Amino acid sequence: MTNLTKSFGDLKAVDGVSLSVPRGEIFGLLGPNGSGKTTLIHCLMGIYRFETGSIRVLDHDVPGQKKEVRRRTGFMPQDISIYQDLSPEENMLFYGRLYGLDDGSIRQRTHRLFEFLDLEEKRSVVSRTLSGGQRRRVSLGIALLPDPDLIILDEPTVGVDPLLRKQFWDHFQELRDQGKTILITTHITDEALRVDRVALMIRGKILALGRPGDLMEQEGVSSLEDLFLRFEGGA
Amino acid sequence: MRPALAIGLRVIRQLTRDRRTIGMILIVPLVITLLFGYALQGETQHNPVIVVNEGAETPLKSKFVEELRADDKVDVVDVSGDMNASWDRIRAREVSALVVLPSELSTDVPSPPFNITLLVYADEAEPSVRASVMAAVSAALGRTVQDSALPVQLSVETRPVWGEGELSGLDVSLPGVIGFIIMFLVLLLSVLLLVREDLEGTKVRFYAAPINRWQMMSGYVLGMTFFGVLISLVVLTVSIVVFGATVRGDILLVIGFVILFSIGTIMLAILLSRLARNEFQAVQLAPMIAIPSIALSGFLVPIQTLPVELQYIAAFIPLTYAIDGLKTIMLRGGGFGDITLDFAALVIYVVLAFAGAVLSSKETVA
Repeated sequence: MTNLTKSFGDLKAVDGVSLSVPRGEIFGLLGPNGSGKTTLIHCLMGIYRFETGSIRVLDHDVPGQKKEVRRRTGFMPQDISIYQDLSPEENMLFYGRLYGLDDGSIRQRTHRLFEFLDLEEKRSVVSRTLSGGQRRRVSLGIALLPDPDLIILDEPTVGVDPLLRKQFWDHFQELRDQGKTILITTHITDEALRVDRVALMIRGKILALGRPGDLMEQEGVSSLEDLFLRFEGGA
Repeated sequence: MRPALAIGLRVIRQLTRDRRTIGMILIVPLVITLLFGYALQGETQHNPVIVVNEGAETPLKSKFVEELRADDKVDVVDVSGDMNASWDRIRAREVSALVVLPSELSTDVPSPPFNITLLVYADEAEPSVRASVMAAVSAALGRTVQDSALPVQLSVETRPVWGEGELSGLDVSLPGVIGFIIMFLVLLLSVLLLVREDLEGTKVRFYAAPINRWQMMSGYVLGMTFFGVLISLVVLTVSIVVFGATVRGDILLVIGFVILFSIGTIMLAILLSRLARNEFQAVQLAPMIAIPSIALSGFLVPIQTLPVELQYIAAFIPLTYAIDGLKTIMLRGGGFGDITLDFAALVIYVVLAFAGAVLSSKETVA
């Protein structure tokens, strides 16, 4: 994306952001709540219209070719966003059909994903009865269901216990090794250490961009948290 | 007391923060009260009638027609000697009633029968029109004979136009009740379902899926039409089985017509759901549309009793055509050929509401 700007009234949620993420990378967008991370990825998905700039995802322009982009992108929104009255399995079936998958493939992939996400026992219960963490796992399952080339995860580990969080990250790295590109937003600095490259986003602008270790070295800080606080204070 | 006060204040604060809800709380009752005030103050006037004269013209009959013409409740559009032609005109709904003057109604009849009855054939699907015509005929007859020396007992009787027996009050109300229930429930259900999509956060993911808005709208319509049909079938079944509602026409035509109305209402709900941001607002949208529709659609009072400006508004209310079509099928025994206007109006309703729903829905949230 080049020089992307998106405003809500007087508020510039994304302010002249330019970013490029190569294929096969885990790219982290680190920033406090309200820094514009979610707005930026909604622009990427063509969910929000933007005022200036251009976006190209998987060799397609957004918003012009957003349908092609969406077909090849798995998206996990910040809210749990699953149908509470449907079972996890029914949610998967619904979204799989929206992505044009046949029912046989959906069932096969659902089985594989639910094993990994430890949802096999809960596959048929109404999602309303699941815990917050379980619902988030279903949400991740939906994002991974279409076997996408690009996976966009908006704060995927909020409310997830440490063990599962580790499993999530192990899986993200496996996906990266398979050539998938992952864009992940987080406000948890420890998590940002696991990504290949990170952009620090504060008040709609990218203030730092690079490998987490390189960034800490450049700024002479011992943790991403210190880096975060330094920029947050000075922004 | 403090906790109760705290709860009360919190409720007031919460609702007053929601500007749309406050707007609806103030505006909806105002609009509804004004509408009902205007709609219910009128009485059925200027009902078109034909006087059918059996036998020769007599001074007494002429006097009666003159008296009838003087009454605002009716407009005597024709005085005819042809019962068959007049009958065709009332069946074509050109007029509301036929007033049949028997040949005995004359001072010249040498030995008149003791009882003479004027028959009034009036649309039994519109009882208030019928009552109004009857009142005008009785009054005109009274004024006609008061100075004459006619030594007979005169009476006026009504006869149905569309079937053998008379219709009960329940029969006459049911088309309106069916139309209203379907409109209210389908609207409420659909708006709530769509608003919940927003509230549960599923909308964003839905918007990120590789589908276009036509597919999205068609999917909603398909799913909600199932419930529209279900509601329609429940209302019809209870009306017929429990209350013995009269259905003189084809029940399948009733069902088909009701489904068409449901589909239009679902599309309207999709359009309206753009205005509601939470359940408070959603539950107020259904009555905001449904209640004015009751006032103006002929459900409570015949449209011809409304002030002229409200009659123009009534012409743009889908429930008007739904009720008229249902009355025609259920009470008048009409077939598809008799409801073409209502059917065309509902098709236009469906097309416009669908276009509105598609145009108002965006593939982008902002």
